[in-house]
Amino acid sequence: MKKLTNIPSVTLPALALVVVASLLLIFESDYLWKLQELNLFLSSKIFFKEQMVEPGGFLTWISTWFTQFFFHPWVGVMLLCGWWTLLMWLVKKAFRVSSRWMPVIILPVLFLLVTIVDTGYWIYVLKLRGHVFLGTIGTTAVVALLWAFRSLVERVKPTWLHCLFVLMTCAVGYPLLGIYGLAATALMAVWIWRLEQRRLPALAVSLTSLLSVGLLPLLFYRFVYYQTNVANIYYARLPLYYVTKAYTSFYIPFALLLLFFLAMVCLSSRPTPNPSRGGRGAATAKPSDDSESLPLTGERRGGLLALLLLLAAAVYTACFWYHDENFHHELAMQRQIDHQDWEGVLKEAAKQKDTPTRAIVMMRNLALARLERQGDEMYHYKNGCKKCDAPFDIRAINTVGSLIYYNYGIPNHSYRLCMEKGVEFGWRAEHLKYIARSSVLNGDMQLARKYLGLLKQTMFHGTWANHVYELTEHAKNIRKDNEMGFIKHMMHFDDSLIADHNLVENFLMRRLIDTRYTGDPLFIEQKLYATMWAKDTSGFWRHLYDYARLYPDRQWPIHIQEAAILFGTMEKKRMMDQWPISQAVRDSYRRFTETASRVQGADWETAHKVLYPNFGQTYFYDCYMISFPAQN
Amino acid sequence: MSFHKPKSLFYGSIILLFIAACKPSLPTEYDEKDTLPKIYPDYTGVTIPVNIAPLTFMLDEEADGMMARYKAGDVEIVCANKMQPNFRDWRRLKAAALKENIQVDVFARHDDRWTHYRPFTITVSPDSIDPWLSFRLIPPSYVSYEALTINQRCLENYDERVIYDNMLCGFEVNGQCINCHNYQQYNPERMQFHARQNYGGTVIAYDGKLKKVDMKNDSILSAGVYPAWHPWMKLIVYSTNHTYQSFFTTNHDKIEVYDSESDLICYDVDTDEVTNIENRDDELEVFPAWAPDGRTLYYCSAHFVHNDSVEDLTADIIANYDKLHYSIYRKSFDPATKRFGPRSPVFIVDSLGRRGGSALLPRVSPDGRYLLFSMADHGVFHIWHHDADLWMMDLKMGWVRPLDEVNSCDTESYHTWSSNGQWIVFSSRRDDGEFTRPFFAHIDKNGHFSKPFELPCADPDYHRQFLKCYNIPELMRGPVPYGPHDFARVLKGEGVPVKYVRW
Repeated sequence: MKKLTNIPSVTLPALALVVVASLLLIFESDYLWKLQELNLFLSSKIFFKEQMVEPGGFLTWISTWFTQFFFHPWVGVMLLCGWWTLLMWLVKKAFRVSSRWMPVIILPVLFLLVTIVDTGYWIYVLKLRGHVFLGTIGTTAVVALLWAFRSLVERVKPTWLHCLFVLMTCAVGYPLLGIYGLAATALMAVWIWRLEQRRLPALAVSLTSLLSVGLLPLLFYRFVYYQTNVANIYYARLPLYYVTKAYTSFYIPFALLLLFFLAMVCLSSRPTPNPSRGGRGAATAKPSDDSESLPLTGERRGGLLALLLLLAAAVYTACFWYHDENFHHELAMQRQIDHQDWEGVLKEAAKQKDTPTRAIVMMRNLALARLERQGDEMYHYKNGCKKCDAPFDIRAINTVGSLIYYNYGIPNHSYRLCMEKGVEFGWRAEHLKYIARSSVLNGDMQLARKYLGLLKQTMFHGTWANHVYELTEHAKNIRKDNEMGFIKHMMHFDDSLIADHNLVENFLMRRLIDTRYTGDPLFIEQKLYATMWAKDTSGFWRHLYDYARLYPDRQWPIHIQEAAILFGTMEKKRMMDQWPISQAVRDSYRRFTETASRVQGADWETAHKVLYPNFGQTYFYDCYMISFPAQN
Repeated sequence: MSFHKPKSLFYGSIILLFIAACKPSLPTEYDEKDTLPKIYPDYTGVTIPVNIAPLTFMLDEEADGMMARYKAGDVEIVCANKMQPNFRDWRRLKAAALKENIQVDVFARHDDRWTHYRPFTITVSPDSIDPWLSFRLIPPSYVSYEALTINQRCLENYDERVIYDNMLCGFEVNGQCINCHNYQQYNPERMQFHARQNYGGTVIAYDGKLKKVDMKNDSILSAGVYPAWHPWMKLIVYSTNHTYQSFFTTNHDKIEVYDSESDLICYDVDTDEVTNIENRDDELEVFPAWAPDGRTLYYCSAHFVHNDSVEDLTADIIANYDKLHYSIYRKSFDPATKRFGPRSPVFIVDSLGRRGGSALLPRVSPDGRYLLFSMADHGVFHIWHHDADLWMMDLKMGWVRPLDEVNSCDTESYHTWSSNGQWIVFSSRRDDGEFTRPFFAHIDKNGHFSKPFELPCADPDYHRQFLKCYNIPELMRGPVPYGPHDFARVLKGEGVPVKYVRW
């Protein structure tokens, strides 16, 4: 331990940043990419003004600017690390942290890291924009203000100036930084008792600070901000972990941050009286040497304690890091779909160990459809319907609804979902991209241009927007477009006024089954898979007929053969031996029925153990063993 | 300190050059093009009121630069890149333009070559328009809503203020929807709007007094919805509606909003009494509107007989959504006794001889001569119908016509007259098919309208970037004097319950 405490003071913070950056890039690259998809920064006056209608709007504005760099995750991580370096440096300067205590300057970085990596499915419903940078920039601003406050108290005598500074910190900090402006002011109320040795001036500053924190937000609420509920005025720019109730555990890292700074202002070194200045100056402080230590314990024990604190914070960070496998697969697949990397989607699907969510299954099947391999491979991957690992109800429609509707040729519903999400959670690049795509498919070119015009203002989506803009001016190219060409084949749904009831897969499959159109082979194939999904035998025979008519010379895909022999046997169809079903499928089915008869009456787990090893990759297994709760 | 003349001359020249550079001048060499320039907003050939804010525009095509000039008499305004005149110049220009039209020249630069488009004119009418416009700002969403505001905009400049913001009374799942702001005879001190869900109720402001009314009562179908203030009495007629909406899988209209039931009620602001004035089971009555004389009430109604074999009334309506055709009717009203007469037809859509149509939102001109309404193929919510157009009926001569000079190939819907009857403001989705913007048009003595112009903004690109709709544009003689917190305070209190009576 002695050796550890002798590490040069900057080594540990630098090492911590390298480790954190590496972890983020190795494990959370897709997550970081998604954060920028769910972010929006527009280089326009109107965007700036729209942010400024709420307290802390400036902080949001600047945070969204930084968040967009996660388009290239490594750039975003570098910038984040840059901010964290600045934060640590400011903490060291503001609180004059000695070399021995240097590990503690990493603590706020770890707490801020937790606010980023513990969110999981919250990213879909968090209304706070740019939250990944917001906490960091806000905290950095707090420390910078505290440093300025300390310098002022130490260098300038009149108490009224200290009071004015505190008042201005709140009056300017609140509109610009929201709760971070209030936090800085409140911390000054405490810190003054360490910085100022005379009680009366300290009391004056403290009172000014507390009154500012209590009253100024109310005044701003009354006269400036109409778009903030009174319940929110003291928490402006704090993420709202609230769906139908508050999830307070997600505020723990913020509480720890506050505790950390409270501890720092309470335990930071008292300025020593400077006899040379005399008078009131002697009663305040002298600018101390930066190497002065936190006066907690002895140097060595202090260093040890700092390391223990760091270790505890690291363990806490590791524990609260959101590791859910499905969440990460979903994000990776969304990223690959955005890049039209369908093979990449399948590679991600092949890595699946846990039971997948329906979002994963749908995206994988979409990739298989795009690669024309769905009929032969869709049961070769893990199937299932695991619920999203979130503390609140979140469904496939909330995560990939617009993606699925768009790619399966229902742009109206993709548009609707983007519009609803954009309105409820705030406009994000992803919403604008899908809403523009949907408008193009619907032939609403002027509308598409509106959204594309906004995307052109972004730093990283402009190229994409320009490409789609070209399509709005040359609509005949849509059918030839790599992305939209396939979707055009799917746009044959019957019109209806039927609601989806927030069940994207169910709605899509039912609409496929019910639509009467029989002209496009790709569409018919999807209708056939929909009947297999629904175990709708009458629909299956109807669409199989259309399929065979449109593909007279093509061998039926394996899973269609499996469904045909399964449904045919169930319904005692005649002349099945003449159907184009391979001997391997017939043998597989015979073995399946023999094995299944052995587990008749057994519970699901037992049947699964017996059937899955040999038949997990067949439609037989899926038909009997996979059922979908009404959440998809 | 020594004074170096050459140096000061040099700096002086730099400053002069800088000033000169700020004042753009038109290109002297250019190619002529015999087409009108494509500009946004499209202000080519429009007529504007004498008190309107400066018209700003930009080139709506690919170019490396733009120069534009407004010219009337000896007043000239030249701007580069975007036409954004300042207020002083604009006032001088308008004064000069009362004698002759404003001529507009637009030049576009491609690489280093300038093109001069065919000049066009803007006519300044001496007829002024009511100086304030109020509207609800709402995104074109279907179910979700978050921040909604009722705003007011001064038409003589770009000043815009919030009248009420729903976030003051809404929090997450306990959100608040606000709608149907309405004024008595353009008077901003006499207004009403509804709040739904959290702290719901109807807010009524009358000459400085604000109150919240709880209009739900067992004897009426629902709380009041679409309002119509009597021109001078303290009475408001509302429709009461059970409104639903369904989403289309592929239809270009995307959504259909419909009423499964609707009636008309009359509410007395002083006594808080409410009574039914139309509640037939086989009729869907909606959108009341008073004639300016206060003796006739116009409204719309669709005949719909519920199919007894279909248990669910809503399902029955959905199955027949495209067969709901609303016609316009009127009822006489005696202000002395507050008695309404029987209904009589004004415009029956079947009379058009086509498959029908649906006429909504009747609005009578202040002189009582014209009836302006919105027309589409079917239904009760034309803002979501791309085929919706404005039509007008001459109540004196009896003719009805679509306003081809005003309509576009996209939605035209909510509309009102100015208090002097010389202007109309209406909602249109002509820009992009989705985002409603207010347009204004002038009517001449023969009942013909000028080409409409879009609400001018300080930055002409503003409406292209703005992701909210201007809903229910209503003209006012001045700004609403009540603040958002005045309304919030009233809404957070208890609502006065209405008393049902039979008049």
